[in-house]
Amino acid sequence: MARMDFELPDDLKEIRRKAREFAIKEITPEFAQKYDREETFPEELRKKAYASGLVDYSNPWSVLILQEEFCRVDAGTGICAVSGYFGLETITLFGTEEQKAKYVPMVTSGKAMMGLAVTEPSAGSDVAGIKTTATKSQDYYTLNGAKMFITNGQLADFLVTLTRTSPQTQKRHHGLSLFIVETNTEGVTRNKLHEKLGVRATNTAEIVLNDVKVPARNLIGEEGKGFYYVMTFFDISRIYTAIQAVGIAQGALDRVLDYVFAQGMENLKEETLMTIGEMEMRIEAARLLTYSAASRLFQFNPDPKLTSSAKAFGSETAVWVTEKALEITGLQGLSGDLERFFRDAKIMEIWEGTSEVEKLTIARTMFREMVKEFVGGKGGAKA
Amino acid sequence: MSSEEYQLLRSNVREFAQKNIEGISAKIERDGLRPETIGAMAAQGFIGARVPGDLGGTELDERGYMIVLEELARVSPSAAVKVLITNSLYLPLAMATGKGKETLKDVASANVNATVAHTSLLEGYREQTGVTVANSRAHGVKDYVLDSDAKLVILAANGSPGTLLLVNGGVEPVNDQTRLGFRGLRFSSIKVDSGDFEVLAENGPGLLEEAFNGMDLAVAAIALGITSGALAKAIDYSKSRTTFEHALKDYQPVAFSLSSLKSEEEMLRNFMYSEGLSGTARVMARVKSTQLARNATKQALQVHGGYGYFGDFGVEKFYRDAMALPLLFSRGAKDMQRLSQAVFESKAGFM
Repeated sequence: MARMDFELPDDLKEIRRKAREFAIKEITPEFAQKYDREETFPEELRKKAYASGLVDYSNPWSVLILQEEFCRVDAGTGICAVSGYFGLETITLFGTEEQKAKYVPMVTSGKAMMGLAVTEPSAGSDVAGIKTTATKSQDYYTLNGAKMFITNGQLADFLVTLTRTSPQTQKRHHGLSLFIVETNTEGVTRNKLHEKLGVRATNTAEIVLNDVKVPARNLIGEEGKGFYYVMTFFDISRIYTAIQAVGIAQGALDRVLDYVFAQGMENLKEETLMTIGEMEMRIEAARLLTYSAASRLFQFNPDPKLTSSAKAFGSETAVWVTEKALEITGLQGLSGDLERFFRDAKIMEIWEGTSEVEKLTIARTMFREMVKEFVGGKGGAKA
Repeated sequence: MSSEEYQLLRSNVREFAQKNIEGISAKIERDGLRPETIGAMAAQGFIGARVPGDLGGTELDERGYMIVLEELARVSPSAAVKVLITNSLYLPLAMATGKGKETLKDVASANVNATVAHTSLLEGYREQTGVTVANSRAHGVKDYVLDSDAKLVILAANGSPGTLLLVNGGVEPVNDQTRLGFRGLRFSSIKVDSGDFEVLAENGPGLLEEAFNGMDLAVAAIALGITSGALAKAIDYSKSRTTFEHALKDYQPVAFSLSSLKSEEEMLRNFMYSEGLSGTARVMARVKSTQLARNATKQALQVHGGYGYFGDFGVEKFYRDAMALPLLFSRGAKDMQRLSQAVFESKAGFM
């Protein structure tokens, strides 16, 4: 009889154990608080994570579990430790062999860092609304424009950058192209953005591109197909955002349980017990949804509906759980890790596609599927 | 005061807040409320809003006081909480003795900073040492004190039930705490070693609780101000920001959610400022307004997208403060028990 097994295999359980052990040892509450307060990137933690062998780009399940466990201890520094190759899938999936040989090893080894420069000051969720241009002359393109809220922006050795290579037509998502821009190229200016609400250890920057000359060989895939490459990447990155959110929510629940035990179980009222029960219920649902979406993705059969569901539900779970965690722990939470968890959680509903965008994606995918089924039905065997 | 006078007061406080505080509200979050800003608030009569006129205050009635708190909170919840601590906590406790009353003139004029160590009433309070009185000196450490730079501090000393002391000097802030909200005010433990103190009352916790429960409408007014400030920013932003070639306000989820929250804000304001609110209605106002502030700030931040996550746009502080307000100035379960007791007309919701 066929069976469905929702258990992680033993090798992933072992990775989870090692990831948690590493995170608890290296990311102490004092460490997390320091980098949060100072808004600085924990480079030494990133190096240690790579040196430990835990950051294994070749094993996506391992990366998923790693992010979950790191964010369970601290999202800000935890994300820094594993986000050095953020955007790499655009090269591994669509780049040339030359690009893969040059750029992939340097970031998967941890020797270099990269980022993905898509968002612009006037275009966030509306990716097709970007205004940065790339104009071709002979064997190079000249890039002009500005990018906003770019993770790793100030530290990255190169940025995969979305540009417009042909004028906007009625099909706004046409005419966009992706380039690998080395950040030491003349005309690239990077300004670190300060005073984030949460994930303050992560580096976020504004990038200004002023007559930046990029070799034509740095074009990723085909000219004009950048929008599709970016959307494919978001189908991947949203899974990781979902699991970061699950990690934050689980970390908040861990701390609530510690608090409740320390206070004495005999004083617990039903209202608190039910809230804790609901926290667990929502977190486990978010985790299973994310693993389910990841399972489809890692078998090269992504389901955008499932991916967006995992991302939106995971993010909203993180926000809800951290809020309830503060309510239960009061002053303890306010002066400990939980206030940081509460601040960190909110970005999950915003970056890599807002919850609103995710819900629209879910509904539109459903309708596309319905139309496909209807058309298929009329023209096929069912007709 | 007549309704015209209340309107005039509101427009005066709003004008003051816009001219003197709004422009520096991000700086207040970074560096704290500076003495010159507190001095300007005192000169307007806000710091001594409820202090009797013969003791150097403005002697506003409750509605006038709520207007001051709400309008200050619209631009800087930290500034509003500074006024709250002075008028809703320090004032009623200091009035217990002659020596306490004598301090009020200096407090109202902001010559001296005053606070109350009230957090022992709250969920999650865990005192390490506490303050004891021996050999005519108050000595020890009090944890989780908001606005801990103060020279005058009212605190409950160790013991059962614990006397309420007014300590004048010999107080030093130590061990700064992380601050989710009200970053304009210092939040830390205080080390006390003072021979200048006054026993305000023998039943310290009881009096503290009375003062705490008495500020239902004041806390509700700050929550309403936070809601109002956050929604005003979100509404403005959604008019000017375009996405997918349309203003944000043109999209139903944005327009409907903000309009719905704005309706709740207006309804709550009408309720809170109505005459002769009962004790039950006051608790209702505290519970509902703090919840509305959390909902409204969450949506306001979401509407701003990535920009909302950064301090420059002035929305993230409302999100933090809306969460910190009930944690520092409400008692979730205890407030709900007070409400339940009123609804059921007997002890309810205690299991």
